[in-house]
Amino acid sequence: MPTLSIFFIRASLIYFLIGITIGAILLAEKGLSTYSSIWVLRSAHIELALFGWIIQLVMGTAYWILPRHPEGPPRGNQYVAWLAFILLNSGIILGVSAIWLLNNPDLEAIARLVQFVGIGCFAFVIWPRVLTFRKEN
Amino acid sequence: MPKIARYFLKAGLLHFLLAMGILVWLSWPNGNAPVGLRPAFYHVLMVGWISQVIFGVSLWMFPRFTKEKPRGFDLLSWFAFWTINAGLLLRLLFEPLLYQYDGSFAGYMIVFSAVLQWAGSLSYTVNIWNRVRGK
Repeated sequence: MPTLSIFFIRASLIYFLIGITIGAILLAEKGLSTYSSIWVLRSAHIELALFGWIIQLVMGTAYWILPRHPEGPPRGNQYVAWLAFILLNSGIILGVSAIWLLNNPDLEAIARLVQFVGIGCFAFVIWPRVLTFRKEN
Repeated sequence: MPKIARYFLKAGLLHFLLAMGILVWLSWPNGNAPVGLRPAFYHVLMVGWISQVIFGVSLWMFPRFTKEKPRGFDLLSWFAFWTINAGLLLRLLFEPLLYQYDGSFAGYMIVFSAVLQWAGSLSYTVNIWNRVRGK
């Protein structure tokens, strides 16, 4: 497994633990109804579970397992791939801060833009690796 | 494919079917689906289906832990399997009741469900962590 995939997947596991912990606290609050202001964490729970955990894990696994180039860098331009990792995670952290801590819609829009560019970098690297080495009919 | 991976994947498929069945009920005209069923639906889909498929495939395909223990500590994986599935089903059962009856029993069962799912997720993460590495 390449280093970048290790970073993607371990980061996703960390987000998974944080996301599931927030989710468990919210669910327990639903059962006990003792501290309703905790529901401010709901958006962070969704953001961490969706982008932090599931999407990031899929990206890390795809970067590891899709066919490699026969010539040149086997997994494509690794600088662009690392940029994808950095931008996606900056976007997630910025997004959670914007929604949860600062309640700032402008900052949330910037976070989404950062994530969008990150996903663009990822698509740029992965696209040419979605191929077959067999002769097509 | 190891037994634990097959269990996760088959349980995932069952949750997928269950989630889609719930969605049909939720969107049926005059279906009178209980209010608390919608959040339960999202979690049956995202935890029951998608996350369990991830658990199963990762336990099957990620680099081996050691030659003697290729999948790490199986006990942790089985603990994760049973607690996550039990926790999800408890939630599905008691969350709608929580909206309809103000009973504390349903509330405590929801708390129990949260603890079960959290413990199972922690158990999976601890076991898979060292298998996320180069050869």
